[in-house]
Formats: sequence, C-alpha cells, structure tokens
Amino acid sequence: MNIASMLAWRSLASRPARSFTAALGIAVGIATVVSVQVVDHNTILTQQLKSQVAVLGHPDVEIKPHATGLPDGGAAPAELAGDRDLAVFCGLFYGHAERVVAAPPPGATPAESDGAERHGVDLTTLALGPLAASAFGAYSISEGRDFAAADARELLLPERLAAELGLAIGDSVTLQSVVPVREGCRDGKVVRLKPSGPQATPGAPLAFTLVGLLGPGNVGSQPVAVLPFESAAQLYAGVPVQPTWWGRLADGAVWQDLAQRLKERYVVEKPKGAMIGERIDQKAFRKSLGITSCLALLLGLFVIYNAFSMALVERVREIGLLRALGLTRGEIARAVLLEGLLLAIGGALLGGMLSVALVGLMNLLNITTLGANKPLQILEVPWPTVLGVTALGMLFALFGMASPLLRARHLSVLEALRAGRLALRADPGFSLRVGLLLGTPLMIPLVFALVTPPLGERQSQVQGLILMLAGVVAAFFLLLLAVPGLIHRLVGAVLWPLRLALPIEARLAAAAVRGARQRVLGTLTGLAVVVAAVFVVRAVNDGFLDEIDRFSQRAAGGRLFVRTRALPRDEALRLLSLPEVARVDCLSAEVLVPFPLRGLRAASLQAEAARLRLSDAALADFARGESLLLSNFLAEQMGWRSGDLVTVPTFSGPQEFRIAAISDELGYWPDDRRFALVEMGRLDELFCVDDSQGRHFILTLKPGSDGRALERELAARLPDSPDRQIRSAETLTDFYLADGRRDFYVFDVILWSTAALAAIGLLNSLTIALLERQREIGLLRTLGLTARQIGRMLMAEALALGVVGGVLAALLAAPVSKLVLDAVRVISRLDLRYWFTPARFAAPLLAAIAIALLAAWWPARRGGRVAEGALNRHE
Amino acid sequence: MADATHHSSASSSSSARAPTSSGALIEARNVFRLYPGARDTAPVLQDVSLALPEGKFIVIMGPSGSGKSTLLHLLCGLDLPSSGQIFLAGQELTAMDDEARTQLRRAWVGFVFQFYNLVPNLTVGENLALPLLLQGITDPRKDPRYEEIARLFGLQDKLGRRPHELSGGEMQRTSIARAVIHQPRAVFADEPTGNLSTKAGLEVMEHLKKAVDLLHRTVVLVTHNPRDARFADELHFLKDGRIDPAWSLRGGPLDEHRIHARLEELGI
Repeated sequence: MNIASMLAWRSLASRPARSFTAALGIAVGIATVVSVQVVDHNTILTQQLKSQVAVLGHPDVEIKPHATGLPDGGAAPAELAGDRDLAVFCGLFYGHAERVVAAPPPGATPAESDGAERHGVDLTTLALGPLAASAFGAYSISEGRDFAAADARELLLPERLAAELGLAIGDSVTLQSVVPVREGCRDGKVVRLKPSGPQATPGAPLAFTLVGLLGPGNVGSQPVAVLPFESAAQLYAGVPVQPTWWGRLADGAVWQDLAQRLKERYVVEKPKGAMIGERIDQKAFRKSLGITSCLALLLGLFVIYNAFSMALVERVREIGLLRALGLTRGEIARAVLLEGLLLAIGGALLGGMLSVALVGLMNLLNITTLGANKPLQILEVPWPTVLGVTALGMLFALFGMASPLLRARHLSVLEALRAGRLALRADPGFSLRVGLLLGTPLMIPLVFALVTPPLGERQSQVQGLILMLAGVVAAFFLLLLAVPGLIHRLVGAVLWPLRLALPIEARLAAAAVRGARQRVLGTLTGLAVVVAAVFVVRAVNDGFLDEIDRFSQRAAGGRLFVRTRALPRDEALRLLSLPEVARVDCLSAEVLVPFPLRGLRAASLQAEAARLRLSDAALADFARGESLLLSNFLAEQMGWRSGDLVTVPTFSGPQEFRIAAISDELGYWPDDRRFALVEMGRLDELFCVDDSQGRHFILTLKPGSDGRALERELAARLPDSPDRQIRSAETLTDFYLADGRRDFYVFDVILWSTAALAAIGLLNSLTIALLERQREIGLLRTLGLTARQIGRMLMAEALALGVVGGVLAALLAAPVSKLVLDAVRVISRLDLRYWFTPARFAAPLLAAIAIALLAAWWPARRGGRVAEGALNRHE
Repeated sequence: MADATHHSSASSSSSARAPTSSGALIEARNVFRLYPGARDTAPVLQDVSLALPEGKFIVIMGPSGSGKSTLLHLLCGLDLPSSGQIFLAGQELTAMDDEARTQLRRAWVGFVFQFYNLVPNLTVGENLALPLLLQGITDPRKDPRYEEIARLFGLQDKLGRRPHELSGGEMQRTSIARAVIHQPRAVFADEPTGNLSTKAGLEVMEHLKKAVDLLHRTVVLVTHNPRDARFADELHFLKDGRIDPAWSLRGGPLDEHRIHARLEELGI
C-alpha cells in the first residue's frame, strides 16, 4: 500500500461517522436525480405504450388544411412557405392505389403467369416530400437509394412489404389511383361520400421503379408504398386526398402562435406522440422536477463540503505534520483526492441502492413525473442518463471534498503545526458560499430557460417576472452579505430571552455565534434556502389546489355527473328525473374538430342564460346553430374572444361559427377543460351525431339539494355497469383536489430528502463548531460546566439558528411564491392566486426550528464527552 | 545498523551548494528573523551565526520567547529567515524552493515534537513506517530497520496500537523512533520532554542519546530545561534572539551545576 492509499484509507476508517455522512450526502443527491430521471423515462414510455402511437416521423407540428385536396401539382402552400415560424416543412398524404400487372402472354407457363395472380392488389401509398427522411426522420434506406427528385417516378418499399409482394430493387410497378369511398354526414344523414364531378376521376396509371428498401422503424414499419410527393400528386390528380404538412419550427417559435395565425385555413397541432409529456404544463412540471432534484444534488455537495471542512479542522495539524515529515504538496493532494474518490465511489454505490429503493417506492405509490395515479407499465433503466448523472454526482462530490483539503495543503507547515488555529480563523468554505449565493440569482433566468419551452407572445411577460424573481433573491443574499452583523444580531436577539431560563448556556451560545459569523451565515443561508424552496413548492401546489377548487365550484357547483352504460335518452330521463333534479342534459354527443365539440340543446342554454349573461340575440344565434360556447381554457389557448369567428372542418367543408360566450359553467365532464358547445340539432346536421342515446349526463340540481344523498339514491336506481360513475360536485371536487395533492407528492419526496440533507449540513456545521471550541469547552468543563449544560448550550444555538433560518425562509418564500405563481399563471393560463396567511409564515419557521433541533441533537449529546480532557491533549 | 548517510534525491535536488565552516553539518550565517506585521518590535533572531558539527548531541537553551523554536524551524528548513543563510550538509536551504526543501527534509531530517505529533489515524507501526514509505520503500515492515528500531525503542509489542492508546512517554518514544528510522543526517527535537513527567522525560532523553551514540545521528534539541541540557555534547545559549559562541559549553556530558552557573552568568 503506498502512502497516499494508506492515509486515505486510514482517514476514512478512523472517522466512520464523518465518512458515512459524506457518502450519504453524495448518495441522497445522486439517488434523487437518478430516481426522478428513471421514473420520468418510464413515465413517458408508459404513456407512449398506452397511447399506441405509431410514429411516422418527428415533426414539431402537423398542419392540416380544413379543406381536402392538394395544391396545384403538389406545390408548397404559399402561407406555409412564407411563414416566419416555420423553418422547414414537408408534405405527406395517404392514398389508395391498385397495382396493375399486365395479363400473362398467351401460352405462358404457370410459372410465367404467376404475376397475373397479383393483378389488382390494393396498396396503401404514402406520399412524402423530399425532406421527410433528412429533416423529419421518416425512414432510413436499408438497401438501394432514396428518391432522386420529388417528381421522380420512383418507389420505396418497407423490406417486409417488398418481400410479400415479391419485388426487388429495379422492378417496375404500375399503379392506378383509386377514388376512396368514405362515410360522411349530409344534412343529418350518414351517406357514402363518393365525390362526384371532376374531383372524382382517377388519373391514368403510372409506372414507378423500386429504387430502395426501408429499414424497420417509423414509415419502414408501416405496410405502405412510399412515393415522391409530386409524382404522387400526379398519380392522385383528380382524387380528393387529405394532405398534412410536417413542420419544423424556427428557433424560439411557438406552435400556438402559428396555430392562431393559420387558424382560418389550417389546424395546427403537435404530433400525438410528441405531445406525451410535452404539453406546456407537463413539460414545466417534469423540468421542475429535474431542477428540484438537481437542487438536492447541490445540497449534497454542500453537505460534503461541510463534512470536509470539518475534516480540515480536525486534520490541519496532521497535514502540517506530514508536510514536516517530507510529504510534498502533490502527495498530500493525491492522498486527499484518493480519499475523495473512495468516498465518491462509496456514495455512488449507496446512491445506486437508494435509487432502486426510491424508484420502487415511487412505483409502489404510483407517483410519476406526470403526476400521481398513472402507474408505470414499463420499468427499464436509461443507462446513459443514470451513468451520466452518477458520474456528475461523483465529480461534484470530488470537488466538494477536495476543495477544502486542497486549500489546506497550501498552509505553511508551521501554521498547520500550530494546531491549525491560524487556518481556522478564516472559514475555508466562505468564498464558495459567497460564490453560490451570488451565483444563485444569476442562475434563476438560466433555470427558467431550461424549465419552460418558448412561450411566444407571453415570453416577455414571464421574463419580466423571472427577472423580478432573480432580483428578490439577489436582494436577499446581498442583504445578508452586505450587513454581516445582521445575522449574529438576530441570533443574539433570539437568545436574549433564553437567558432567563438558561443564563450561562444562552450567553455562551451567543458568544459562539459572534465568533463564527461566516460559518453561521453559510449554515443559515443553506437552511433558509432549502426551507424556502419547500414552501415555495407548497405555495404553488396550494395555488393549483385553490384553482381546482374554484374551478370545480364554478363548473360543477349544484350539479351531479353521471356516467353509465349507453342509455336511450328517454330511459335516461326517466331514471334520472328525481324531484331534486331541475334538468338533465346529455353531453355524449361529441366530435373532435380537433378540439371536442359537444352538442347542447338550446333549451338547456336558455335555462342557463341568466347565469351566463347571454342576450336574447346570442341565444337566438345559438338556437339557430350559428354560434359556439367555448370553455375558458380553449379560448385562452387559441386566443379566441367572444364575437370571433371560428372555422370548423365538417363533412360539408369548413363552416364558420361566431363565439357567443366563453365560460366553464357548462359541460364539465369528465375533466377536460378544453371544449366547445354547439346546438345539438346543428351537430347532428353536420356530423350525424345526436343525444338520442348517451353515456354522460349532467343533472342540474334544485337549490338546497344534497348532492351526496342524491349520489346514493341514483346508485341504487341506475343499472349497474363496470364503468358506472355517479359524482356530485362535492365528490368531484374532493377527487380532483386529492389528485392535485398526489401530483405533488413527488416534489415532497425530493424536497424533504433535500431538507434532510440540509439537516445533515447543519449537523456538520455544529460539529465543526464543537471541534473548533474543544479547548474552550474543555476549559468550561474544568471550571465546572456540566456535560448537560454543554449540550443545552448547543441546543440553544441550534434553536436560535432555526428561528432565524425560519424567519429568513419565510421572508424569502413569500415574495418568491407570489412571483413563481404569477409566472406559472401566465405559462399555464390557469387562474392561480397567491395569498398570505399567518400559517404561511409559521410553517417555514416551525420546519426550520425542527430541522435545526434534530440536527443539533447528536452534537449536543457528544459535546460534553468530546470536551473532557481537551485541555490536556492540545496546546 | 550501518552508519550510512542516506543520500536520496535531496542531494541531487539542491539548488545551491557552498562550503560550510570547518565541515559543519548545519550552519547559520547572519540570520535575522522578523515576523510580518511586527516592525516596531525587535527581531526574534538577530544576526545569529552558528556551525553545528555532525554526529553530536547539540542542545540550544534559552528562556521562553528567546527564539529557540524559531531557530530550530529555520535550521531544519521548516521556515525561512528574513535574511541570512542556512546550510544543511552543504546545501543552502535559503536558496531552495519549497519542493526542494521538502525533499531534503524527507531524506535528511527527522523531527521530534513536544506534542508528539503522531498521525492519529495510523497505528504505531504505520507511524514508524511513514518515513520509509516516503523513501519509496513499498513494504517497510520487511525493511530490517523497521524491526531493529522498534526493538531499540521498546515498541515491538505496541506496533498495532493507535497513538491515543499510548502513554505520553510511549508516544514520544514512537516519535523518536520515527525520526531516526530512515537514517536522517540530523534529528531536530523541539522541547521533547516539555509535556512529560520527569521520569518519562529522562527516558526520552536517553533514547535521543542512543540516536547519537548507537546510530551516529546528529541531534539538535531546543529546551529550557537544564536537566535535558546535561546530555549535550555542545550547548549553545540563546538570549534575546542572539547567540554568542563565547557563551557555549562543549565537551559533554555536561555537569548540571556548570549549566546553572552559565545560566546565572547570562542572567537567563
């Protein structure tokens, strides 16, 4: 064993508690980030599996024209080509074709006539623009080559389909377009929508040469023949096809802005697969989780740093001795780094085990990164992420460990040999702490950029709020740094009344705080930041819960929601019409255009007219089927206002409706906030969907009715079915509030483990204080102070630190919570509010005191024992 | 044990060489030492010149605050003078950088401190082996010097113990053993009996004397205790930061009365 290994190993083994604490700090930090990453990875996989999305390519947006048909010759639409938010785009459309094979020549052998048996084979074709593969990853060529040009008479086939059709590269395939026959709705009647006139004439057969085979994945996994867009446009000339345009957004562009700009002629959407976990609120939620877990990792570093600052206090004389004996600075650095590396490896291994436990626990409790109650169906380890996070954690830890001890190696030998007292007058972590404090406000805008996707028109509004937030945090830290006496005066003020009960202990504790301002500042800021972070997240959670509560009152108040097996309307009315029920509405008639458009009878709206403040003219418009009612969320998302015109694609072509009102007070079922209502007869006329039979019913109750009692009564009355649900407004509100709370459990897990790390940091800080003051405590013990009094002195110091840390946390949490909620409100478009209550001040205070007292318990117990004989052992 | 002068990389790493007076192992020439920020006060050491021969037990005596420890730290290369030169085995310490002085200490110097300064995490055996490890010996326990020194200083049955399990005398014995095991040219001892009982102190001094008589090391010891000074072959007196060769006593072992008389004469 060389000297570096011997010193490193002995140092670790001789201080098992310190080594374990440091390893635990690394482990908790790594485990928190890793478990969040693993759960996030599997959450997305599970949601993809559940949605069964067959992904063809990876565009940012899909742009679908309201009207069918291709632009002339398959040319790019001018609106898209000129749009500032679209960097590139590419068209695609499906079609049906018949493969034409010449009849076998007379006298051909059975083998030669084999091809004739395939005459008339139907093929689904997919026309793709030239950028489909390169810009959108639609396919990869496994054999042969890609299209030579967008108008080349060439064909690509997935390997499997080519084998099924018996085709090889170089073969020629002649295709004849087929006019599709679809079912649709004309004047309330389901009809076969075979187009007539010039738009319904198939073109002449065209010959295509098979030039390449597609490997599996995306288009290569679909049973389609791929054609160049412009050639396909010629093949399908005269046949109504529905093109879609894939778009890649320009830097900083927001798809909702594009959607609003193109809404007259196109529907712009995010691809279904890409939307999983990528909705703006989901993305912010997931990213916030990632950032919060990184906070845990940083706190882990803080703990390690403190643990090793403690080691520095203990070992500064040892380092001096080793230097005196002839160890060079490099050799000491090697020993220190080796020790750090061993701890980092130990911490990473422990972190791995903790990660498994945390992921298992989150899986058991159905906690995912898209909220609770979405059980994982897949559990795999994203190794590159896990290994990357672990390596990063180890690097952080190594830095945290090595930094204080590497500073120590620069001490002069004599300074170190003089028991390190000279070295300890300067806090070794001070500059790092100052750096962290001043760096934090600067990091906030960066973190914001990572957490949220581009916000388009709202970007500047949110940026303003984020800058204010950074300003508040900076002002908080600058105040602490610029007024260095503030902290010890506050702590002294807290200790003052304690003098009545603990006259000696409180005085000594105050003196200790005065003598270690930098240590106290570092410890208190760490504690305050963590506790403030916990309560900011709680305030955001409370803001969401409050919004859910208010929304539920508005949307569901005085109503009862029933889901049952499909029932004829008359039967449903008979079953549901109880004396307490004023009205029964069926909201089962629904189509996607692409937002949910539901049918509502005009009479029902008439009954709600006063509540919605609808004019007679607006009611008349709705009754004629000329207007829509929109939910707040849909209107916010699309930027629609009352009186605007909305274009809805129908079987009869695009139809325009005027927005009569925007309200959440109708149609709250099951929990989709994004919907529109149209007069039932009009919905039937356009889409052949009515409410003659339904599964979803809303019961409007007479004033004073007991919703929960009615729930029970209906449960006995309605036929049983597996998916039957009867929910009063109260039950629904409780359900969604509980769901909202569960969504935030994962934050609680992370933040409380971070708080545990803060407690370990505080414990280290108090232990450092204990070691620094060994001689002083030894003297006090000699003078007659009992071990219990020493313990009480440390507890008094911890109590004062907890109170001041808690007050600071509360003072920081209040404005930060308000600004964060304001920013989230702008981002999510939900009506989130912040309000201050005494409880919101008391909770951080009590939490900080509890953390401080828990952290002080062990050093307080140890204090008396450590001090015994300290005078004899040291100069 | 062979009386080998163990030349290591330190000899090749020296940056300056100069002849010492009359073949002295250690020499100080016109050394001044001031502490930063203490301009108004007198220097701790004032124009100290001293030549110490090899293979002798040299004691430097003086009252508290006279600059004994400062001089010792300068002579062994732990500290640098404000002006003047220090030579160790012909190599000028004052012209070397920190790395070179460290290498020289590693090879040619042993230390005994008042507060033992054993590495608390290491066992007695590991503390003993430390200088050999620093010499690049990968398995010091197999080195014949390890067992021989342990036997010579009565530590054979304590090699597995940790420092806090030893008495003060045992800790200081371990410290002396560690100081001589790698056969340094000089052993520097700073008040090695200051923290021990009279009996343990006497035992420690006898062990240091062994280092000179049996192992042929040079020992430079600073003390304020005339009892310790009796062991000296050469005794120098330091008063108010000055050393006068005329004050020195030579030809030890010295009589304690003679030492007291010189102390009285100097008003120490």
